[in-house]
Amino acid sequence: MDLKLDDIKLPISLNSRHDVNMVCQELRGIIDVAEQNNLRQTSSATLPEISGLLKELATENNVNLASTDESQKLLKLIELVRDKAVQIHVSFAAEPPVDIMKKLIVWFRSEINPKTIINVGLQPSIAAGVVVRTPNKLFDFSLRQHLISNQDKLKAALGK
Amino acid sequence: MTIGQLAIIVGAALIAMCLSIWIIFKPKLGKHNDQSKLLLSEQAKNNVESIFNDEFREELKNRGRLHFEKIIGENAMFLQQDLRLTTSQVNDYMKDEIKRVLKDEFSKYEESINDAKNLALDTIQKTQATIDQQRMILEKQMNEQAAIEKQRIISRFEQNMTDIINHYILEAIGNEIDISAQADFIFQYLEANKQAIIEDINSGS
Repeated sequence: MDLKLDDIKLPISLNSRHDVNMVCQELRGIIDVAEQNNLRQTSSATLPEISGLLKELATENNVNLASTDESQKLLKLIELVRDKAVQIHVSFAAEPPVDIMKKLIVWFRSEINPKTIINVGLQPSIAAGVVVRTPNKLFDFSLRQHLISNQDKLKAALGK
Repeated sequence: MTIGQLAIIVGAALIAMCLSIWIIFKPKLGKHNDQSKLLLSEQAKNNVESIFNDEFREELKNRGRLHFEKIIGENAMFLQQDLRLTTSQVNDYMKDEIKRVLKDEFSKYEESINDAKNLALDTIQKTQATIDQQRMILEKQMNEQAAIEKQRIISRFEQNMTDIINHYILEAIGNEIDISAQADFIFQYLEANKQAIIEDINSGS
């Protein structure tokens, strides 16, 4: 079956490449355990504890993680997200709070692309604001850039 | 011709005649004297021993010695006077010569000193003029360089001033600004650049 990126719904909590990789790894572990049990015809191997992120993803997409087929489908979809989803790199001056990250991912997914993944970076030198790096461009919304672009005004003010 | 002149001529003729007569009779008188001298020499030969005795000889010796000493003394005195005079003249001559030579030498020396002094003064004046010229050139160059350097520093300061202030502001505020407080600022910028982001993503994908 040919899967598309539009076939998956990404929860807000799943917003970074790191989250996607973790979910992939977790799903592989679940699938491996399920396959082992199928091969042994027993349920001796217990499933690993499922993270809240994966639960949310499964709930969002109506996937039964106990089902190997559904889990494998979800794994393929999430790998598709990993490989094909729009990835935006956003740099902050400090570690951003969770609510800001949620607002940001909501904004990107609602305004830019519903399958957006945000990678967060830290640049203390920007002081305030953010630096957004898209596949081909860099959008510097930092205070540093703001000050640099307004140097003429500062010069004029100091000249007086 | 006057009578006076005739009288003189006649008188002169008479005088000449009288002289002729005197000359004619004079040899006869000389012969007479020769005869008397001859007699005296004969007497002297005869009485020579009695005239030139020891006392007379001693007296002649004394007289001769005295006369000789007198002559020697006089000559010595003359010689001494001559020597003194000569010495004095030589001294005067030497003094005059030395004075003249020294004066000439001193004048030459003074002239040389003056020439050297003038040359040195000229050289010093030229050197001073050259130094002044060089000083003015250097001063001008220094002023130009200082002005250029000042302008460069000012421009550099103006160029870097904003960077310094920016750096100071960034360092000063650092992490002091709460990211939550920046949310409006961030979303405002994102909204403003939404279209550009979409276009870049679409072109990239």
